[in-house]
Amino acid sequence: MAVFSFASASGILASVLPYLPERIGRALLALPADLQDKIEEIRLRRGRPAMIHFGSDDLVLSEAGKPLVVEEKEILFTLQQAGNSSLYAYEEEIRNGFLTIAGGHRLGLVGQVAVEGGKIKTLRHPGGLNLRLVRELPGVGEPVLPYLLEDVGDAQRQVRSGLIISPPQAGKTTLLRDLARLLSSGLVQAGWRGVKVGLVDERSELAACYQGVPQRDVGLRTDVLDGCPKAEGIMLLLRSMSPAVIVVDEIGRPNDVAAIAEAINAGVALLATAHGKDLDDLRRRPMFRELLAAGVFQRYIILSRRLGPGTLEAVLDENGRPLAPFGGRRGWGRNMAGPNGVGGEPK
Amino acid sequence: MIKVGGSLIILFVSTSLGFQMAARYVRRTAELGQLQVALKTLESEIAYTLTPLPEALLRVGALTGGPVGQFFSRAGQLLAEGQRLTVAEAWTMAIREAAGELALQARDLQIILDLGNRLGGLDREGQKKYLEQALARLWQEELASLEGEKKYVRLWRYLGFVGGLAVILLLL
Repeated sequence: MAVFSFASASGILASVLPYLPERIGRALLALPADLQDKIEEIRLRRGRPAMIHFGSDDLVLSEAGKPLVVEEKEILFTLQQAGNSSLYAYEEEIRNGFLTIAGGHRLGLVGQVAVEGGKIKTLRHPGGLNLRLVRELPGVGEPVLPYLLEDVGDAQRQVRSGLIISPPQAGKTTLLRDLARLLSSGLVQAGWRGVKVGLVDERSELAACYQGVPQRDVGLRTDVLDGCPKAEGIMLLLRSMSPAVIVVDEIGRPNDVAAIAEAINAGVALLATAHGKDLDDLRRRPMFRELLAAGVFQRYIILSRRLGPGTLEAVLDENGRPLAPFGGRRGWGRNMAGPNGVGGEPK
Repeated sequence: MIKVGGSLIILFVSTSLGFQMAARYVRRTAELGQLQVALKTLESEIAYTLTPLPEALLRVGALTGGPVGQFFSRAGQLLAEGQRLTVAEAWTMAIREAAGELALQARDLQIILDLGNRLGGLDREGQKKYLEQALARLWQEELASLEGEKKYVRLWRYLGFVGGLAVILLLL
């Protein structure tokens, strides 16, 4: 029960140590510094050794040469710290399977579920936690930004609607976040001043709000609706916040389409992401066929993991013709420095 | 003359000791009552307003006052300070610190300690249930304490006085 401090920690790890049990914290700090910087996930499973994941590799944490087996009270400790000692106030988040902590990192949780009416009611016995560290890579959207801007005469420019198409874990959320920031805050090199951006952050992943305040830099002129269903969020923003651009993550449900159509009709540009390999992949899916045929998006940005997460494959125009065959511009990767040489410290 | 003076002093001390013992019974009943009111407030903070626990405890502490209130305030303070304590740890620490000031008996404290192991947990209904259980047990203790009061308050007061007399007689 002694007061324990991890004063020696720095960087991204320091922001999550207050949430971790003492033994885990010590084991993490005993890792080489370059490995500490690469950690993407910290996994705690009750009765099994704690692990970290980085890149496509993982490692079992050890204590005095033996695997560090996680105890029930350590799971509880982390949960209580993440839930401000008041987990009862986070029922909705627990039903969705994760809590967002200060710094925007996410704590995913599994265990024995209590079900009521076919839906998850609560988690009776938390059995495993996944602390996902979120890194910001400011600047990754810079090469893409010019393709989203359209000259409309009188030195005026407006934003085109764009769709980022990418398989999982290829960096679409990271790119989307940075594009939202650039569209909102402006970019001097591109002579772009910035416009009002409305962001519907259904899964609290883009802005990573903690008590309503974005923990990631999503731009100066950005209004965030945290934890809000996309379709309703889009309508609310249209009614009340007069955005020039609406940014949403992972479209793909039928009622998203109606809301998107509404936004386009209102003359608002839309920036979204979709799971998929390429444009043809999306065209095969009924839900997207309609959206694509309506010509909602003027630009398609294709990402892959070919050269690591964030490999920019191509930017396509409204007809699917490549404007810029990036041909696999170096991915930013999670373990590499960002394009600005910034390693992605939380802001 | 000295004998008379000494006897009076002995009688005064033993009588006030008896009264103090008797007062503990009265205070225990009062504190059990305060605890129940405090836990009821805590219940509504948790189940209806969803106030975070540290804040809820501080609020309950301020409303309750006295040694019982101090216990709640202290537990809230320990949690709010972010000292890497679980709810159960902070709760136990607070009750240990407050125990000296409280007239509550070990069995009363045990009810509170049991509750601390459950507080801050995952489901709202569970929280309500545990609080209600604790309330029911405290109510039982309060009834028992009232019974005890009737019997022992007078007993201790007499005992103090009579005990004093007995000591004086022996010394004479």
